[in-house]
Amino acid sequence: MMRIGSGYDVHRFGAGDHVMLGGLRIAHTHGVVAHSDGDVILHALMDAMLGAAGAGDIGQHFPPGDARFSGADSRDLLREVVRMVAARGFTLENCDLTLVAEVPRIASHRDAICESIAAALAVDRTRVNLKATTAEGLGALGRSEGIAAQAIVLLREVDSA
Amino acid sequence: MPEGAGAAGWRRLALDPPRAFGTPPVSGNLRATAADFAVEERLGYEPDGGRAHRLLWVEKQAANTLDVARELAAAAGCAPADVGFAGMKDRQAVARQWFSVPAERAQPPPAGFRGDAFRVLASHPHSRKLRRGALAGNAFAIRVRAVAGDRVALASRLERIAAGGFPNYFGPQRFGAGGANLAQVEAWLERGWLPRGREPRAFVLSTARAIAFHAVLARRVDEGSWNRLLPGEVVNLAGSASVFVAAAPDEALAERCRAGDVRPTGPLCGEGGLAPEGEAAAVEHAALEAAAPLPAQLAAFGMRGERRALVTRPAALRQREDGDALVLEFELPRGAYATSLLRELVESGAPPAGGD
Ligand SMILES: [Zn+2]
Repeated sequence: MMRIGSGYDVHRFGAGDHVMLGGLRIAHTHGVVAHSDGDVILHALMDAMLGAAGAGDIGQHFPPGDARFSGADSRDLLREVVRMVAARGFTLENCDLTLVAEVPRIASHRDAICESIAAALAVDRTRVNLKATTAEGLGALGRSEGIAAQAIVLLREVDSA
Repeated sequence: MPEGAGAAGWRRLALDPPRAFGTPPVSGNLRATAADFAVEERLGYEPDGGRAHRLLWVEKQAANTLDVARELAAAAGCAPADVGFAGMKDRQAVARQWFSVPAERAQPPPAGFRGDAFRVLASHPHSRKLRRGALAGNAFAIRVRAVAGDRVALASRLERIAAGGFPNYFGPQRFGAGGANLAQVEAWLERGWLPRGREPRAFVLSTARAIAFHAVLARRVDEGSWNRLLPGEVVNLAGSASVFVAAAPDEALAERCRAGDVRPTGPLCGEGGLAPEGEAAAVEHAALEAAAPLPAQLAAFGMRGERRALVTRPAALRQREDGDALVLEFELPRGAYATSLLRELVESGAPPAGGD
């Protein structure tokens, strides 16, 4: 059996000199305001995986008020999500990720980000796809006030022979 | 034909593969009674409150999981195939595990219901049928009687295994009582066709896969590489089915391996799936010669290639005294066999008891 899930995350720009995207540190004129490392791509991905498994959302498993997750490396949280999903009998078939941002531009980092995500998920690189788009100047994202990501994932039920 | 191949070699690979830590420090009697072997399932998640099914928390003793499922189906008035469970538990044991029974088209027996060799301890609403393999693991409490040997050495071996894990061999129950399934694998190769019926077919194929996996793990134990990553390794994220190829494992990955976060894998042979490269592939191919022609046959009969971790690691591993017996307590992740841990700890005189 296959199960589909979707996730969405957005963070406002704040003070700082980099953003975390897919576990990679990307230099930027701003950072993001977040309780954790503010990695929009991984947060959207985790929500999509939990959604597909019928296991709630990241806010439920890693509450923003919980000191244990303050400044957490989202790759560690993602590995926990992979295990939660596995306990329910699922493994990732593929994920399709979209970053929505005017800045920073990530074209030159895209392969490295995909590899970082695949490594965090412990899956083959071919199971991860990342696209980037802008908001065409529209709205808050268009005014470069923040950064957003959307994730669609397919989970496959594991054969247990 | 490679040395050790054929019926005798396979029997040895299946039931007596090389130990990672040498001779066990103590000897003793296992499973003098069913109560000496207690296993309790850990799903790793809570019943979700959905209406379509009931999750029943069942205690069984000296009963097969499949027999309990059939009895629950009869009591509920549904087909046996509609009753779900996450894993088979040992027959000769006191086992607590979850079963799912459809609640909309059938009447799941309530808490307090008693079957032939089981009782329902609790019942909770849940949205999905329980699938095989959909569990976090199992907790065990195993009583060893008439213990003799070096208890200090046992304590240090427990420490070593708690920190670094043990070889993830299949237990003897995977090969049928006394290795009975091995003869069926040989019959399959001679005749070229599988027995009729879903369950008998599945038993033959899974036995054949287990022999081939043991061939690889036994080689890695002999070479001392069962618990570390080789170049080209298919690496598994512990606690998941996720795998990836590490062409050149770096120090960071090696450290994660020592910490138990990732681990090397061996083949569950079939068609397709992720394959090792480089040195890991060379070791695996050489080892699989001892299992030939099983890998090719498994692919030809439509099994899909999967991977299984070479190492598994117990949690909460400890020993305690109980009268004149020794009790070993530990938790294992799904797919790991208590007997594979016990054989690194205790030399038991009696042959291992058959499971389901
Ligand atoms: Zn976020």
